[in-house]
This record gives sequence, C-alpha cells and structure tokens, in this order.
Amino acid sequence: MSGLSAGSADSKAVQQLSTDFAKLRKELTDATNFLPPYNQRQCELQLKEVEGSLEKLRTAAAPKPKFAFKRKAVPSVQSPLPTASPASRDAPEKAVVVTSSNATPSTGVTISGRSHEFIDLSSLPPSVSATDLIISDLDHCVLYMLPRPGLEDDTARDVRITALHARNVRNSVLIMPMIEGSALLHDVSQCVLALGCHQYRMHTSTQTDVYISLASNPVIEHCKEIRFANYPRFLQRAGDEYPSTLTVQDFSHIRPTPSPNWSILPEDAVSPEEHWPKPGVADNIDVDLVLQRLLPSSRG
Amino acid sequence: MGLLTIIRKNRQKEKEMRILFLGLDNAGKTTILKKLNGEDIMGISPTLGFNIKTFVHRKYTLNIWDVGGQRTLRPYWRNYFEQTDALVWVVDSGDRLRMNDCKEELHGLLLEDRLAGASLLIFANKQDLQGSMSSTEIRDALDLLSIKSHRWKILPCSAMTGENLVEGLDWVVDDVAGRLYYSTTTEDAMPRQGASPVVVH
Repeated sequence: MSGLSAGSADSKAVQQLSTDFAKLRKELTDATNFLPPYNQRQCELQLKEVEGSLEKLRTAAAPKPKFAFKRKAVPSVQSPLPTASPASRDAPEKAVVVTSSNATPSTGVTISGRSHEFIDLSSLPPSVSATDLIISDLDHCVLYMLPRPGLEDDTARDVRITALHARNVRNSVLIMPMIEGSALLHDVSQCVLALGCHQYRMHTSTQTDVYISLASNPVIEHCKEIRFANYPRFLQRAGDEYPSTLTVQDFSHIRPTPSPNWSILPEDAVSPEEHWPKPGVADNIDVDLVLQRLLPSSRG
Repeated sequence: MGLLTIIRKNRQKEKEMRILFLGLDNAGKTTILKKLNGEDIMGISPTLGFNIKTFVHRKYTLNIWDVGGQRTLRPYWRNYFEQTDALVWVVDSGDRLRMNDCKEELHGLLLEDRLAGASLLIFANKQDLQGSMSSTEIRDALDLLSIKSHRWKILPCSAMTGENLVEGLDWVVDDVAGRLYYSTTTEDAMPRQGASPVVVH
C-alpha cells in the first residue's frame, strides 16, 4: 500500500484494495462475537488507518476517470441552468419567475450578489406568491422576508416560501417566515438567521446565531461556533405553529459527548425586540445599525 | 412442516430484492420511504446512519436501505453496495446550487464494481415545490444520457403528494425481476413496456 501511494495509483488497483478492505472489515464484524474488546478496538484502529490511506489513494487515483465525464458534461450543464451559472451574479435583480410551461427552463427566485442593502419582499418578482428561494453571495445585508403591512407598495403582500437554499452569506441578517419545506445552508459566517422550517441543515458555517422553530432535529456539519435559540415570539404570526424544542445534531461530532461546535444562545445574549428591524416602519432602515446591534461579532 | 411449505418458503426467499436509496442530503430519501410505507412524514429528522424498510410489493419482498446523505456519511455508502439489485438515486429538484455535486456523486457511484448491473432509478423529487427543475432538465444536468453501464429511468415525483412513487417502485421491480427471475416473469407475462429508455450494456 505505501509503495503504491508513492508511485502512480491507478484506479483498478484502488478498486482491488477497497474490495480487500471491505472483506477485512466484514471479517472483523464477523469476529466481534469472540474477539475480546481490546483486540477488537486495536483491529478497528488499524482498519481506520488503512481506510485513511486508502481514501488518499482514491483521491489520487480519482482525477483520471472523473476527468473523462467532466469534459463531456460541462457544456450540457451550463445551458439549461441559468440560475446556477455565474451570469445570474451580473444581474441579480433579474431573478426570473417560473412559468409552468414545459418548454422554457424552470427557475427559482434568486437573490444574489448584494452588499450593504436592505432587501425585502419587494425585491421578489411581483407575480410570485409561493416560491423556492435561493440566496447566494450576500455581504452586510438585511434580508427581511416577512410582510410589512404599514407600507403602501407591494412589500405588504404575503409570500409563502417553500424551500430555502443559501450559500456564501456573510455579516448579514436573514429574517424568514415559516418555510414549508427544508432549509439548506452552506458557507454562512457571522450572520443572524431567524426562520421556521420543516428540516434544517447547515454546512461549513461559522459564528452564526440561529433563531429557529422546527419539528425535526436541526443538523450541522463542519460548523463552528453556532448558537441556537427559539424563533422570536414577536416575529411569530397568528395561524402558524411554532414548535420550540431544540435537539441539535452535529454530524461532525458523532459521540456521546456534547459537541463543541454549537451551543444554546444564553438568555442574556438573545437580542431584544427593539434591535430587530420592525415591519411597517418607514422606509429608511439603517442597515449598518441593524447589523451592528444584531450580529454576534459586533456585540462582542 | 410439509414439503409444500418448505418449497414456498424457499421461493419467497428467492423473490427478495435489495434496493439501495442514495442521494445528497436534503433529497428526501427517508420521506419517500415513509410515504411509501404510509407513515407520518412531518417530523422526519436528517438521517444519521441508515434506515431499513422491508415491505412486500407485488409478490416481491423489498429490502430497502436508506443511507444518510450528509457529506460526513457519504464515505460509508460503500459499506452498503454488496448485493444491491437496484439503486434509487433521489434528487432534490430545487437544489440548483448543488446539481454539479449531485452529478459527480452519482457518476462516481456508477464506477463501483459492486454496483455493476444494478438497475438505476432516478427520482426527481420535490416536484410539488414552485421553481423546481423538471425531470428533463435534471436528466441533462446529471448527464444521464452518458450512462451506458446501467439500465436507468428518471421519474418526476413528490414525496409530499406521493406522485409517481409507486410507479417508480414498479419500474424497479419489473426491471430487476426481468433480470433475476426471468422464468417467473415470462410465466406471468409481465408487461414491460415503457420500462427502460436506454440500452442494456
């Protein structure tokens, strides 16, 4: 094995090794009945080590076969996926609405590439009443997706959000209503989120406070310094249900000990109502002030 | 126990199929399974580890393995490959940001020796949500047309409404049975039209 890792590792050899490895693992599982615990643990440790080096070999050998299909695939992906392509970054306001016709490519509502802005429901296309929301590349923004009844324009209207996908959001505050489907977030850092949802998954994120309400267990993976609290009462709306039990699962820390990567937000660190942007209050919301009051980093 | 019972038991055993449900996290694998099984789907948490469901579908006993799709769990997928008759790949049709990840994971799986020959069903899930991609778009985004090593089919579906879930299972059972229990299916003259859009390897 070590000989291989030094030289060129071709994928066939790796395949062979992984089959061998699987066999070994099976033998060990079969042997658990009669092996004393100490030996068992030793064997497991050794297997783990082998698995590690095998994984390295695999990545070393992988580029060859992967490259083959990548080359073919890239052009075919670009064309049918307007929202996923970088083009959407150039014209973020032009987030397009879905038409149910089968000829045109479907699109979700996308908010991306903004900084130092207050974004509310008026940024969504006016015909939308229910939608998936894709948020990407925000910095120093306040996103307020609840209706704002005091205002005369269409920000007063109600939009149901059916699912949330977010990626690369920094130093921002996201205030969401109850989302019917799931929320999936990647690369969020130094943010405050308030949302309700069906399922919650958060990946590769840091230093973020999450005010959340959901019936299932929220999950984090490869995260650090995430704090959880219940969805604020003053954002709750009549007619919706807001479950308030919180059992966070950390997939990067599957052990009986408590995960070091998240904690419950202490009572005295919960932001009071007056710090949150208010619905219906006059237009000019001071983004910097809201960020300064709410973001965990600036509050120290 | 009479001879007939023994024969019957043997036969029943013979008609088992092992089906593996995989896909990125948040695709809806567990929700699809629970919906198929008539269980409540509201309080499902992301799968840490795996679930096994066994149910009888049209004379066949299906052993369905549903393995969590979180990135930390994906290296463990290969522990479940052995003796898989069919692979069901579940896609979150609204997850535009990760379609490329999804494609790479799928094509990586198809290189696995131990999955060679398994039937492949792609569920384009969450069609009930506004703004989700159509199955044709997903077919192109995942580059399914380049797959020559497996018989495959893509179906738009929704775990919330139950749309197309049983139809998907039907295709899987037909396709696997056609391969494994050829004699019994011809006896029953099982309809196989619309089974596979693609060449057998």
